[in-house]
Amino acid sequence: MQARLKRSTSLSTAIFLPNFVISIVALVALSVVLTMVVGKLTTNSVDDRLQTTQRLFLETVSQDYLTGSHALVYRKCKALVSDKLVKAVKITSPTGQTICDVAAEGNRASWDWINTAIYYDEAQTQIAAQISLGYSTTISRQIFLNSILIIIAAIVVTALVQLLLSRKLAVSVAAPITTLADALNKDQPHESAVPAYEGSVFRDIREVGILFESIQKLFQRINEYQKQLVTKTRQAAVGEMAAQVAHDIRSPLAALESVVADIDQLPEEHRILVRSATSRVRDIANDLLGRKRKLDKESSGAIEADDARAEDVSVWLLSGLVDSLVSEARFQFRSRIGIEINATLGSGAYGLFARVNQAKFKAILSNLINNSVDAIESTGQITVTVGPDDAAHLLITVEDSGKGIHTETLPTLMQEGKSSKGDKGSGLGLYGARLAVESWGGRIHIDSAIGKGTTVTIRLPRAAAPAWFVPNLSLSADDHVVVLDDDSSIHQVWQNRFDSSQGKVSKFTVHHVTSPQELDDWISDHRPDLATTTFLVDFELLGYKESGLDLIEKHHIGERSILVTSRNEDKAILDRLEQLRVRLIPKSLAPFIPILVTNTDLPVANFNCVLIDDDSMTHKTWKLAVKKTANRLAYFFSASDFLARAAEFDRTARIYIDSNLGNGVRGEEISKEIFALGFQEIYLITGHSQAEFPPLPHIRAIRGKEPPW
Amino acid sequence: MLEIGMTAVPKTADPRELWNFQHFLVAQCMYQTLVRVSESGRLVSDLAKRWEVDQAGMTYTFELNEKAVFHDGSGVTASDVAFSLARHFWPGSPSVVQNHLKSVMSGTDNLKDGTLPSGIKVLNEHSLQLTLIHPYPPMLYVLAMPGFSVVSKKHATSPTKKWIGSGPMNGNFDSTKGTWSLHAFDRYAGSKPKTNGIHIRGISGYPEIETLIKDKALDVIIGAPVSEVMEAKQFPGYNVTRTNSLFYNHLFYNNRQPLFKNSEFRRDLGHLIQSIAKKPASVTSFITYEPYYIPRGVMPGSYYQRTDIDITPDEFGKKWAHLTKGKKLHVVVLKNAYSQRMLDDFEAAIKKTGLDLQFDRIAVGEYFDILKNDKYDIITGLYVGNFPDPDGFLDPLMETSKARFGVIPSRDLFTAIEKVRYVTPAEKRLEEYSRILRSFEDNWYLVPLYRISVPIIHNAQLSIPDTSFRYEAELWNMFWSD
Repeated sequence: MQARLKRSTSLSTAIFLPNFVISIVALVALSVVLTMVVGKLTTNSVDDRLQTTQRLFLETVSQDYLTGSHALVYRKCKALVSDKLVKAVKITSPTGQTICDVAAEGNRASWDWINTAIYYDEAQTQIAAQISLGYSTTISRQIFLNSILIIIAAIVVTALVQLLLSRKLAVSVAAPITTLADALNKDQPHESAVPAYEGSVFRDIREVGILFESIQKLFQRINEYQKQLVTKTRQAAVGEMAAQVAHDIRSPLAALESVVADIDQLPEEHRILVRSATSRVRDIANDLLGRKRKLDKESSGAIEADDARAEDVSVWLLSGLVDSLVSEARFQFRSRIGIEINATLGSGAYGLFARVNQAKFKAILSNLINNSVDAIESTGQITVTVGPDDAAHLLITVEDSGKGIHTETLPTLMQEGKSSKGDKGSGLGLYGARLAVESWGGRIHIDSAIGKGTTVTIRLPRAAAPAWFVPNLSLSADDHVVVLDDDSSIHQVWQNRFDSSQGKVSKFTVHHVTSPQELDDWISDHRPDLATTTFLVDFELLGYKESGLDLIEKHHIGERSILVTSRNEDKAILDRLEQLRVRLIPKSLAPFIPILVTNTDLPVANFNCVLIDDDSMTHKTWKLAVKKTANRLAYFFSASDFLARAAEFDRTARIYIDSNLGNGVRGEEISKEIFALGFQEIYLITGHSQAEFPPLPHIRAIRGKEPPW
Repeated sequence: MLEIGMTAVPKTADPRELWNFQHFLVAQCMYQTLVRVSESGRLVSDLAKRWEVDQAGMTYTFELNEKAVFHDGSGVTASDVAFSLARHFWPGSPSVVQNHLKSVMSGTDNLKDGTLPSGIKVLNEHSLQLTLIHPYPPMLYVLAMPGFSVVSKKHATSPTKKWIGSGPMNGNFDSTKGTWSLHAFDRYAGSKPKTNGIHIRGISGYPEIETLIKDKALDVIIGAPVSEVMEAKQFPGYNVTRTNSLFYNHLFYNNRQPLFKNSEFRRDLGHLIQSIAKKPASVTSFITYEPYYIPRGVMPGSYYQRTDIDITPDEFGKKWAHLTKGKKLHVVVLKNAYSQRMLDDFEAAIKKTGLDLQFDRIAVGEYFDILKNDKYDIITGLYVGNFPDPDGFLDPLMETSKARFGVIPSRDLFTAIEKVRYVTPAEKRLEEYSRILRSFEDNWYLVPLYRISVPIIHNAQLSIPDTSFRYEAELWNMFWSD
């Protein structure tokens, strides 16, 4: 490139040289044409003049000649020559008599001659006299030469003018453009590279001036953009690193939390310390992820988009929102050492969805936590709990051990312009929270006692889980579970979950793969088993271009796959899940997802109790209780699962069916079908009062959800 | 056949007896001259196919066109030419053109009937030589005058005395009707005539002209009166060509009358007449006030530089009462040669001077008798110059001229003219002529008044030759446009 540039012509030369050469060539061509034209015109002019002279002379002398006025003829001949109209005149009669023979000095041989005649008759057949006019071509030559000299002089003057103009043009255009080209040609444009030109370009050529100024501005913008780019690149790098660190932390953290849940052997203070430490680690991970999301939004302009969607309401897994929010708060107030912020989610919170505006919900919750933090002067606890209220509602509570609110203030807190912080608060927080919660069909309530603390309870209608939601992992013997994750700690988490859930009767097989290639290999080796295989796939696979969803799509295993990811709030991922019919487990909830194992080896007839409930916590509670008895309990998360296998059960078995089976399925209705199948001992379990149900003849009894043993 | 009406139809074909320009137009059809003036005004050969003029300018040798034949088929010879020229000088010749040659050609004085002057020599059948007393540049123009047309000597001298020419048309005169029938002569040696036949009839003037035009009975009318009546006429389907002719119309005193012996009286009366004649109401587009004996275009510019002096009738009457008292002035004018207004003003002015006036407005027919018998004091003098040279206008002033307008003491004039007639160069000659003529005109033997433009009324479809500064409008060269 540089070599080619060196061989190329400079702009000033490119402007000047062709301009000058073309002008000179055009001038020369024009000169040739002009010379020819002038030559022709000169010749024609001389010829015309001679012919005119000849005609006039003939007219003048013919009558004189015919009337015999030869002296007059002679005098006219002499006048013609002396007036230098011609060089010579000779008139002779047909008999050879010379009437006149007048010539100027000079070489007669060098003259040209025009011959004409005087006639007697009109038909011009009888010649009365011959007239010869001699003329010199010197005149025409002289005129021609004079013309050529003028043309040459004109060419020289024009060429000089053209030279000056071309030079001027070349300098006026080339100098600023060359300055620009030099500036552009630098490898690393920087602040000092903004081109400067002190010439008179703006006076000379307006367009070049405009170009110059525009490129100067362009340079300045490039410099600004470059600075911004460096800043953003650094931020992005930090963000990427933060995300990676968060991702890397989360997997072992999940394992740690899984273990922490069951560490009963440690002393209380140690358990608290371990839980506090794991929470701290999780907070750091969430904060890092939060920074990454913030950067992503800034770079994509999503902040404005989020604001624009402030009124959008959709179904959200509240435990996920609360978990991340509490984590952020904990990190935010990490300097307040005396304040402990906890989220109580547990298995009861798993699967609780509500229709809220995500941003507004988070803002409300954040505001409530902030209020609680403000209410704690030095040490205290803040607990955020998510749990079921009844079959149709859920509760979110923010409870603090702060100074509490005066009784007289409490009723006005939800009013516009009122604040628990007195003059410090704007009064918009709780009032806005009330409006928002009510707009979602819920209610907000505050209980407080001076010196004890404040509890804010938000009650929201439960929403049906979205299609991607996995209420539990229902596995049977001979099933395969394939876990794809690049982090071995997650493999360990799942393995521990499966080990603890299978017990002695479990025969399903768990396979661990860590790369796309291993997944490919497993699938190709187990094609016959794909119909009974559940894939637990991580979204982000470190070091691989393909995501977990890409692999699911590639192998057409959407319906058999569950994406395990922390990005459960990412709209793009959720949309793609729906498209591929893939379900999702938030990674932070992996320790809490109920795993239901159906032991098909044991004849179902051996089960004398059946629990049908969509709540895994109930399953867990009943499982622990039944162990202490001789009863054998079969678990089903849905009525359809039980009905599919109902024929195998002894009709004497006691059926405990939840009133609210989710998705609008009512236990009292399903129980009619079960009753019709011949089962007599049917019990409707519910968290509500028995009085709320009408008489149900096919139901033996309505009872609470606690285990009957 | 071209139908032409003329106000002066020749009653004979003898070229020697032709005097009016209309006669000459007819002669041009029937005869040839040695040379002629072409339509473009150039001197060109006619009967003579070539000629030579000697160095002295006094000997003209003509070589005749052998192909030229008379209408009877016989060849034209040098003898016929010599006869035709010489007969103008024979005793009793009525020729109005003889004076143009008589003074310049050798041996014309006292020439016996039937003989040739010494200036005419037949060299052979087709050559003849004319010898002049002095070199005379207008010689060939004189020879081109139709009056010098060449006739067949054989027929002219026969007992039946016929006038046979060699011109482009063969003509017959019907004496009972007074008409001419001309037919193209297919053996004419020159260029063929542009019309096959011409019928010429005499016309009297208005209102006959209007009737003939209304009936479309004529294609051409020549010699129509030039008074304002002519100007006022409308001729649907006809055009009027106004020739820029050499035609003058002056008033001549009868210098034999005692009243006109006083040159100052002649001058004052002349100024009085001119002061009337130059009034705008007195002129028409055919009558141009030109108080010079020779019309414009012939003489040098200095000749025409005059200062008019206006005299009123009262002034004149007072000044000359002693002379005019009891005197009667007899003025004879050709009616229709002037505007009526001019004549009326003239009559009134003369009466105002105290002079007794007899004012006769006559037709052409009466004119020559009055002129011949000296029955006038002042008379109209109309003349057409034969060629654009002062010599072409001098004949009416000669005492011996057949075309003279009364008695004009011109001997001194011609004596002076003879001294400068052959001066070269031509400009010098004309300057001398100008000086002499100005001096002559200062004698006021005549009152120069007008130049007349001859109107030629012709069918709009008819093309006629150029007539500028010439009286010729060669009839045989008229033709119908496409």
